[in-house]
Amino acid sequence: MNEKTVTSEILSVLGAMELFRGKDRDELTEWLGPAPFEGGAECEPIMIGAGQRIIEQESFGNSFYILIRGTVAVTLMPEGRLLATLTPGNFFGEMTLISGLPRSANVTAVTPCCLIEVPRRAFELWMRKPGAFRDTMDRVYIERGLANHLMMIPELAAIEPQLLRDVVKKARLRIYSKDETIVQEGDDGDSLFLIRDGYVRVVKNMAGGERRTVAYLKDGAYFGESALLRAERRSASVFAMGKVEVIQVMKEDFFALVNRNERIADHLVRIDQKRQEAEQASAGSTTRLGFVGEVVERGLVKATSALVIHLNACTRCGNCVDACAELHDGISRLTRHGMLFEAPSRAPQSAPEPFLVATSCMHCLDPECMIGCPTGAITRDVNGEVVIQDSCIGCGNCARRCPYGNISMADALPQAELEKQRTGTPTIGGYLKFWRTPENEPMMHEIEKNNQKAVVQRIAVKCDLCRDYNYNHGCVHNCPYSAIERTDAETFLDALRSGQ
Amino acid sequence: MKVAPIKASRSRFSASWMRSGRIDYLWQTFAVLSVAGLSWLYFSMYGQLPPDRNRVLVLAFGCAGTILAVLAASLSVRKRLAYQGVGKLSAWLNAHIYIGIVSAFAILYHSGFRMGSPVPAILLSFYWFTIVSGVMGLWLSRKVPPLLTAIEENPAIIEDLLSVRAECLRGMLELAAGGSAKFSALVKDSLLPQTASWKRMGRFYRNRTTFAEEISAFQKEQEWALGWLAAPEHRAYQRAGEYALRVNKMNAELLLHRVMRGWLTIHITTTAAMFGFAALHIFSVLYY
Repeated sequence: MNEKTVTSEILSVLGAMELFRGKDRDELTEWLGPAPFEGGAECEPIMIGAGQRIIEQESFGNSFYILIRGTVAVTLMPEGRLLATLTPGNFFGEMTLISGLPRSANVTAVTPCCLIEVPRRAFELWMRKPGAFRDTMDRVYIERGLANHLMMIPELAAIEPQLLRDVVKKARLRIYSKDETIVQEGDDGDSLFLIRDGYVRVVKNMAGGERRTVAYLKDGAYFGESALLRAERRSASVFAMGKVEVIQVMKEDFFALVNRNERIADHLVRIDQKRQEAEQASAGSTTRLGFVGEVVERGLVKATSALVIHLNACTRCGNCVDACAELHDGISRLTRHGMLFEAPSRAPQSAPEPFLVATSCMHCLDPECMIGCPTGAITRDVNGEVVIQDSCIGCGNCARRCPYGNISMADALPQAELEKQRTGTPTIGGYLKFWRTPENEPMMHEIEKNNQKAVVQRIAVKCDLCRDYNYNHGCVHNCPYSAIERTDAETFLDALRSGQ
Repeated sequence: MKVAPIKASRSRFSASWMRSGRIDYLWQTFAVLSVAGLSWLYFSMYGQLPPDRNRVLVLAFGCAGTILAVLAASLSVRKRLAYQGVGKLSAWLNAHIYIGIVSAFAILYHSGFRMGSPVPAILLSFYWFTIVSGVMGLWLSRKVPPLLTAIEENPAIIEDLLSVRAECLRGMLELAAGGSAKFSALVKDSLLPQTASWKRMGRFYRNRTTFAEEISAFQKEQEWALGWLAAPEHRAYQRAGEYALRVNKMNAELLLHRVMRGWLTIHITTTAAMFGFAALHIFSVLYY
């Protein structure tokens, strides 16, 4: 935004907000000012017509919105329950930017609206500075996060809103890092935990001193109710498997909820019984949580679009890599190395099915690569694709942060060189792929080596799901043996379970 | 001012392998019906018609076979177009296989089960060689990947295998050069031949074992050599043995990769030769 677009209406609305407490008009104009570099993401005023959807539930986004004029409704699908009606001076969309999770509700314009769309990069910069903005955002994140999460639990839908608000006020949001202990076996049970984001591992001490993982729980699940209902000590330890956000409901608040609603009590007792039975069965079994456990442990479960190669069908012809390189200016965004898994076979008595999760962006649910990009070049669109924009300056931060090595740094060659690569005269050896050797393989770095004058800039490259080709994934479309697949972890696991 | 864009798509998903069974089934149905139709035409009409109409029928079989063969061969053009909106390569491969089968029957009926003069005889030989090599390729594409998966530790491309093999070989020879004369001789006479041993490569294929599963048995086999060496050289000999077995395993993997590439070379070469002779045959028929 420039000085012309920052109107007095915007400044007066922002000035009255708690977020910008203590900021004068000049400071606000500076905050909303243009990006510090050309092409960078910046705040923009947007106009929305009545009835138009601003945020789609379950979509991903890179923006936070401040309402300047008009009214918007926040509703929860599928039943379209109205959660809130927001008026000028309110804000929304911060939950996805902080947690990395998909949008938790729909936001629709009730009347024509004027909003300020704040891009992720600007939002992160504001959050870094201590002050009213960060403090308010932290408080609102916890309150809204708790309220949204509790309202999504069917058993709590019938509870009085006042009681729920009381629980929300008293509950605590706790954030754990990888391998941190959330609950220790044998400790007193003083609270119930609801997982808001991430995965946890439930570990139990078995007879003979063996420590066995008995379950993996993910967001939406809860634990710790058993010790409360039975007035016992904790029967298992719970560890965070990455960054985990949990909501801790203390014992007295838990019983306040349970005593007021019989449905919740019945439900919890039923769940507790089932869990006890499952744990007993697991304790008696000699098998472990093999494949599913491995998928969770190695991070595949975070994938929204993993590149899976079925090794028993892959002839290693290399068409997938060649196609990817051909579609992306000679630089392949996938390599046929990565995580090897052995899935239980669909047919009984037969060998497990090996597959490879190739080194190619998985478009994680909670992408670590997006944290701290100095230019905001790495973003996520509404469908969840993590994309690198042209504003990448090649700092390599995202490549270092990606835990799976799925982002690489490559030489961005001048357009003329790329054109030469595309239109160069093919050799006979190059035409006949079966005769391909490192000598006749078209390699970008070779061109670069032969042209020392070329100005080479390093940029981050990763799989973009072939956006420029209408999402017809080059690797999948060019596998002659249908051995390659793009899928999310849950769909893939379901497919294996159902034997499709 | 801009309006917030909202779109929704399943762009992150691309499920092809789950549906491949159904597509196979459709192609199989097409092939069976086409072959049945061609066979009915040939056995019910050939020889029953007047000579001039008989000749038209034979020519029709020839034309159909040639057109189908050209269509089947268009797979190689599709391979050159990474993605230009022309369908999945797996669908093209299915078309290639089943159209190829139908064309084989059309050409067979065109030939009337006779070899004829030299040009058609050579053409037919190449044609059948192409068909057989195609069937062979289909068989290899089903058999080689599981075997390769069983013996490799991580999928690797041929260039990687070549460079790692060279490194291992260099490592083994450096160890030999740095040791005593006896050590060096043992590495060269006992371990070096093992790197290219067909028998040992056969063990990888037969037992479907990886390097980690084979190494202890290999070290046991080589224990006799330790008696000839001084104790400080025992570990170096074992390391040289690890290199030797690793090179052998890579040779086993490379052989499978080369079988796949070699088969394709043969298939494409015979196809090219077949089309050359087909052109000659068509020209000679039209000329005379």
